[in-house]
Amino acid sequence: MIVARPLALLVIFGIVIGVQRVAPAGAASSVALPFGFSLIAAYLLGGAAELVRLPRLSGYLLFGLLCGPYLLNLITASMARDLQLVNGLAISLIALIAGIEINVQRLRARAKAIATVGAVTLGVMYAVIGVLLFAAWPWLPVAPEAGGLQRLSMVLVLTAITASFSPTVIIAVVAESRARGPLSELVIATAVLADLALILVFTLVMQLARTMAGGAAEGGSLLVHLSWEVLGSLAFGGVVGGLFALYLRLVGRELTLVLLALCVILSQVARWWHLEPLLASLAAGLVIENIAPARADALRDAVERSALPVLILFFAAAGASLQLDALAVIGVPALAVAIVRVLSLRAGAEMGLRAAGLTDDTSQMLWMGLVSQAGVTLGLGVLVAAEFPEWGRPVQTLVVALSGLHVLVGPILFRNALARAGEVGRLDGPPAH
Amino acid sequence: MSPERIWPEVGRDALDPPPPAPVRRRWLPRRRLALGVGDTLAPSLTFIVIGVLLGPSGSHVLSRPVLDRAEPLVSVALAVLGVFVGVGTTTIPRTAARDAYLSGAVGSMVTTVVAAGGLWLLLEAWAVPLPIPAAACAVFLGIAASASAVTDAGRTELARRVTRMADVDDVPLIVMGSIAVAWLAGDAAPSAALRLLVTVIAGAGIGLAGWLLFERATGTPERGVFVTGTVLLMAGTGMYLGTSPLLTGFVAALVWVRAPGVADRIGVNDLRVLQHPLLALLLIVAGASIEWTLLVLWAAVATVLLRLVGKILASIVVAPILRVQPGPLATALLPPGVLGIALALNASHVLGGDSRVLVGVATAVAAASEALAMFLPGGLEDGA
Repeated sequence: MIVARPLALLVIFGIVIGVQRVAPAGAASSVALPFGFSLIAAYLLGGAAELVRLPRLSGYLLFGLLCGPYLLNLITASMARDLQLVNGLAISLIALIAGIEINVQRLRARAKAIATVGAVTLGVMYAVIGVLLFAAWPWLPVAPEAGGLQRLSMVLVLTAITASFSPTVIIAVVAESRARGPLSELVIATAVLADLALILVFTLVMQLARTMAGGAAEGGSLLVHLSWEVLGSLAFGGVVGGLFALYLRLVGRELTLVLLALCVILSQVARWWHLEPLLASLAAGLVIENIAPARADALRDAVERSALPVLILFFAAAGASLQLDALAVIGVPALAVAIVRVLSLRAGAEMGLRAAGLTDDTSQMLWMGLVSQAGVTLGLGVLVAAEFPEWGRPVQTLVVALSGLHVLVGPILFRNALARAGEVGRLDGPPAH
Repeated sequence: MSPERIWPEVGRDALDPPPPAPVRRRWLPRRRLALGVGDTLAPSLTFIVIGVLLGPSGSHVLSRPVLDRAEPLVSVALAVLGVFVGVGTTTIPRTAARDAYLSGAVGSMVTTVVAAGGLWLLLEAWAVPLPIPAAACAVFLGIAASASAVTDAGRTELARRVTRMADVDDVPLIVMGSIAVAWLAGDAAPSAALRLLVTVIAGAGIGLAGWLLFERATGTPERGVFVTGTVLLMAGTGMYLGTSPLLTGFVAALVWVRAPGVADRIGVNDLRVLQHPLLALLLIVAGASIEWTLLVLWAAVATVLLRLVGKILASIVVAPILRVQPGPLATALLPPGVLGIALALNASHVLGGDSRVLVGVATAVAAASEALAMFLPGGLEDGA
């Protein structure tokens, strides 16, 4: 019955509208309703997106945007906040997938090239975005009156955030497209390297901004903080991954449930200990793949079973939390910055690939994979707003608008690149060696 | 649900425990197989005790905010229970349906009236200070007390008749319990009747959506999304309307079993994976939610005794319908199962802080009745 899915979608929309109309004011809210609604409706809209050659993830995002608090309001603001509960779990699961899928041997052979590409791309982006932001600062609605070193520190902070990528979205697009191949690996590796660089650069520019604002410099503790965040995350992930590999070898039962518990542990403990959940989960995945490769297939099955609902909820939540009011307020400057970012990214990636000697057609599409921005970028915006309320809040609004634009466009571009590279669906076939 | 009905696609009925061990020394307490977790001494009692030890009254590992955060899982557990009860009603053979429904309804009503009426009289006579109206408290605990879970009756035809009755007596509990929750939540606009009506319509709609989606899923992950999403919708709808996910799950399951196709079997098969963890969690949360006060202890003791009287009277009334002796029937109906506790947790989440006393009493009653049932002779042999 060809109308079954549209009919089911209509029925579910009807139920949610009816329930919201009748629910008593101040009723006991339940996160189950937005979770159930998003899971089915976003999945069905994702299927519809696929029919018009868009990635399913864009369908999930559009569902969130359409039903979110700014348009239909079927997912109210409080429901959208409830949906964010899945974020920590999703980031850990997505990074774990990347860790399991990354082939260390193959990457080792390309490590130097990937490092070169990453360094040149980021270098060009920082330079171009930084210079243009500094020049255009008086016209940006952040702190136009600021000048000299103060302006420089603000520009550096905004540049670091603007040049960031979203490894989570990138890995999610790869996982959802069932993609495998050189482009997927190159994009994921570059995004993870850029994430490491971001931690370093952001910490340094925030320190500079603190100094400019009259705070004390903290050189020694800064180094300790950075080491803890990077090395501590990798070590923690490695230990957890090792324990899980032991579980796989010795017990190996109820993998889906244990896997979800592992992701909760990775995300929550990492947050408590001020570690980077993405790095910790990535390290855990790498260790599992290398310590218990024989059982990694069973794990991969469990991951595939649990990944789909988590990805749907993660992107539906991202769509529902897109602040359209921020886009309305700061849309034109945000669009200008977004265009500069994409152009500098493309130029930087091309220069980096040339410097690394990667001249094949597939690698030339690297920039298309790196456009997405999401959680990390938004998180940094929150940090800046919390520490420097005066100019940090406008920065946060700009960052929210930028992320909104990039998260809508990025997955479409990346999926398109993966399709052109012939990597979509290759995970289901024999592994490429 | 009748143990003799085994679906080739999904195995035994999901709420059915494994068959009882054939040989047992008489001097040992009866082994209870609730939840089918294992052939151990009353695992449901074990989970409640674990909850008490972990909860605010014990080691405080499960603090009050943590218990509040478990609300979505509790709602999902309620919806899953509702689905199993709904699907279970259809496993009764047509020839036995009349006796099963009649005895189940009458037995449930008698127990509810005796327990609720007796408790109300006691509460009024002793002027017990309660955070909620005495009548409401008595009605609610009376309904929760009517639950029975026959798990160790034996394999005879008599045992099957009694098991079918115990399966069906879950239905009045769900219906009356949902009405009680909606009524306790207040009759201000929108009225309790309207919310109940929308709950039933939403349950049917969710059932319809599930029926349209389950069989047409293209693979296991996609079917998993549909089943999980459907159960979450049932859970959220019931809680959002201030009624009960038990009711939405029950109605949706009725749609699945009445509609053509195998939506009911797909749903039950996929939910079976979640059944044990969710029910264990439900019992642990219930145990942790008990606030040990004199009022809870007093009300629990009174309810256990009234429930016992109610079950004996119900057995006397329905014994002729089932063609069985009242004594063994009363013993078989004594174990309460988890539905009463589930209903109390439902009320607690919908009504908020004041109603926690209901969870405490319902859980203590279930635990005490479970413990009592272990020391009574079990098994319904033909001719009993």
